[in-house]
Amino acid sequence: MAFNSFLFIFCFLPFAVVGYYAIALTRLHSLRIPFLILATLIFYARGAPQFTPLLLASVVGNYLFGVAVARSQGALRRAILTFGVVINVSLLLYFKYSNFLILNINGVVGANMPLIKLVLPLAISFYTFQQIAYLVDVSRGAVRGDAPLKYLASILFFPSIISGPIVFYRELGPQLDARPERGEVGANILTGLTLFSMGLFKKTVIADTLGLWVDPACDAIHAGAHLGIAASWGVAAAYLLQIYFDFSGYSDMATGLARMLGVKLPLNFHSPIRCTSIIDYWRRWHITLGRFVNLYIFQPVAIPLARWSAERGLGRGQALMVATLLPTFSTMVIIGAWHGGAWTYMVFGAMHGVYMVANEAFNFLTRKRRKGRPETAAMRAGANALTMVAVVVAIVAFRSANLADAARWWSGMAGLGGGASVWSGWPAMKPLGGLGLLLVAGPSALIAYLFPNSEQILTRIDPVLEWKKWRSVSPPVISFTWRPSPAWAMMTGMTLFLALAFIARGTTKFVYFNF
Amino acid sequence: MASAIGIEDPFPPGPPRGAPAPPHVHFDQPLTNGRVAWLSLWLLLGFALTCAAVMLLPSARYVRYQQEADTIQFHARWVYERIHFDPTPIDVAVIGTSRLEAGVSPVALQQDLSTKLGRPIHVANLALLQSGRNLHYAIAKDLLTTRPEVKLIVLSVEEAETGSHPLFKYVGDDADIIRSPIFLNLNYFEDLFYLPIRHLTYFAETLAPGAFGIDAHFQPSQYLGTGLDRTLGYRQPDGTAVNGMRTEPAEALSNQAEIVNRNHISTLRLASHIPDRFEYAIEYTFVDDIAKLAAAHHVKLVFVHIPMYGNKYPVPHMGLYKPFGPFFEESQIADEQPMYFDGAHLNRAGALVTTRWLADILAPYLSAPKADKRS
Repeated sequence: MAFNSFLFIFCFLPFAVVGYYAIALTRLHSLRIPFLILATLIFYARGAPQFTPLLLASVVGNYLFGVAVARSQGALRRAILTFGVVINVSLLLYFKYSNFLILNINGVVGANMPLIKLVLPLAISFYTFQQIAYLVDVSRGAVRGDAPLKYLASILFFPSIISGPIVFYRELGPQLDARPERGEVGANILTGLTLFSMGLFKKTVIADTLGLWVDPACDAIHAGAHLGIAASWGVAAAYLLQIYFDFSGYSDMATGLARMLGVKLPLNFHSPIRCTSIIDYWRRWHITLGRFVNLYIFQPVAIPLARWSAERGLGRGQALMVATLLPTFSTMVIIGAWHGGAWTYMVFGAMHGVYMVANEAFNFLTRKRRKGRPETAAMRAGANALTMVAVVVAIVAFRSANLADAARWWSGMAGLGGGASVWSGWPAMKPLGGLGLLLVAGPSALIAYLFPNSEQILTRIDPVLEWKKWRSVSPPVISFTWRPSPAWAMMTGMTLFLALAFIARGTTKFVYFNF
Repeated sequence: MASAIGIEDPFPPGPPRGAPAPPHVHFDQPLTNGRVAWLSLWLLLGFALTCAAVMLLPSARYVRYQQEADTIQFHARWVYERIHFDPTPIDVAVIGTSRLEAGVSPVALQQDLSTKLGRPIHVANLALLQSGRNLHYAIAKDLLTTRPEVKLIVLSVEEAETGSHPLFKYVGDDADIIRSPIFLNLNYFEDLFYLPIRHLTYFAETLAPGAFGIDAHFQPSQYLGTGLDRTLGYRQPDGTAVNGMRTEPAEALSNQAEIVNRNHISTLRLASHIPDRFEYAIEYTFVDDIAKLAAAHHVKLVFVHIPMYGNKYPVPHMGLYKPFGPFFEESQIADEQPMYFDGAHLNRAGALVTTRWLADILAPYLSAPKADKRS
């Protein structure tokens, strides 16, 4: 059941919210958590009934691992933790990379191993990461592994289970523990609905409209078409905007849904299109994946390497290479690979790894020179343009079905597509050709660049966890904030109506449902 | 170190266990439930006003029939053009599914009827692919409000017409979509929820038809002509050949008929135990409406069933049609393998036989002049 479906919006959501508060505000309030779990299982089973047992097994199994980790100490604790993490990762690897591995072995050694009939279980990438974080946090003593229902509800939480934001138990658990207060119910539902409406609008009106041009163009590339230089860049840039509005819209919807239940989720996007460096971009794009990777992959590798460098007395440049650049590159490849078993994702990750390494090296080499020199608007604009060009080039690999398609696309961007074979098969607003794409992508880019993002609009309600840290980051050119006034309420009604209307046009599934 | 991949550690220790959730809303005035209720009314007002504004957006009716120009329904445009832009009269209109589209040659029927009656009779076969009586109503309504000369409508009857026609959400009038039966109509909400986006789309397409590849005005060069006879065969936009002289072996025809029947049955398998009035709610509602329209315009109705190959699957609700007009079943060629294009459709040879049979049936209904509306 997707957030952008009438079934979810008109049937499941009222059932879940009304049911939750009907229980939470009465003497039966202790049943609200089981109710949330049940509602989430219905929600999940509607979309992927065949994987519901796997989900349940994973959640129950990880809870038991958590208990075992919490009750053990020293080497035994480390062993149990390692075993638990290995099982989680193995499951993920099996579903995501088995066929990738078989294909590559077949290709390299000329074997003929048959592919395994596998369908990626819905949401496995997200709930696996959440549970790995839980196990590590239990082992570090950051959380206690002793509340089974609360743990189940922290994973089986329908707003975030399918595609995140990747929320940690230590963030969600205490909020689920707290009984909702009667006086806040209305405020939570209204503000949650406002955020949900904005997210739905971003998905159905903006992202799906961009998809009308992007998807057929990508299909054409896959079929062997050579796009001209303008079309190649235009489609790549439009895809970046499409995936931004798609995934940030999804995250807004998830955050809004959680808010309706009185729960705050962490921020997942913060206007990454306005970034001024690739480091800045990754600080603001899919933030919860970045922080997971940072905490549970990068730091455990980089910190020992930094110690090792210091112990051996390596010079600053060598230490940078060993303790920062190497783990950074590896981490970005892992982020790319997390999206699925395909060379396109590896290349995407590696490209971003190179960008990040270059950015770190540049910062290292120019730190003294830049110190005390204020950044001008022109410098920021130039940095943004350079970063966006790099991101758009890399997104080609992310969107392409295979590396041959990506190469064809890149050759088009380089002007090598062949003048005689400029693609003219734009299916939406056909008579306008590529101009139609510009008419859609142009305003979308302006929204991303000039307007406040959803959380900035809703800044008065502290829309996400730790909003104070983000509140003043990247202020918009055109600024406005939501207020509990009739005008804003009407605006929300208008947004919701248009967002719903566009579902009927034929909305597509969220891009990140594939991961 | 964390800044190496650009992400600061954002994790101060979480709130202590069991601590109350932090307050969520900070405003000068507390956002009480009462205030929220008041704001919710404004939200609903914004929703309703936007809905009203969208529904009132003007658009050209011609645009509706061009929505599926690239699909198997591409003849919808011709249907509209035949009714609105072609000055040739329409005495007999054939409205129905692909069975009548493939099974009735308008040219042959016109010739036969004109010969039998000794005066020119003009026939238009306005049938479109796929079933759904609400589309037939939309076409009949358009026809009868535009063409006062129509004397007779031939309506197709199939074994099980349970669903809404896929074109109805594009061409039906708002009021007809809204008042469609809900029980049992699996497409009711799909059709209903499509209304706002269709108004937005049609408005944009009417405003800038060139940008959407739509014709705001009739283009004679695009018109397929008065004498369009689809029994002769044609190609769909994807290149698939339809009708014409092709046939299949008897076994293949039987299998195809069985598949069509199975699909019909599976549409509302669970509803087979409820009264026909609900199982075939769309059929009952819109046949009734067509009959009322026809009566108001003094137009006769004739129901025609062309069975699938083998004629193994009877029409379950024949009683529905009797109050509104005679019902005829073309059963004589149901076992004639050379007459069928596929399990459910006649080929050109079958169409010519059926057309002659139909001319014999229809001639008596056209012998008397049409009653004057004022009489």
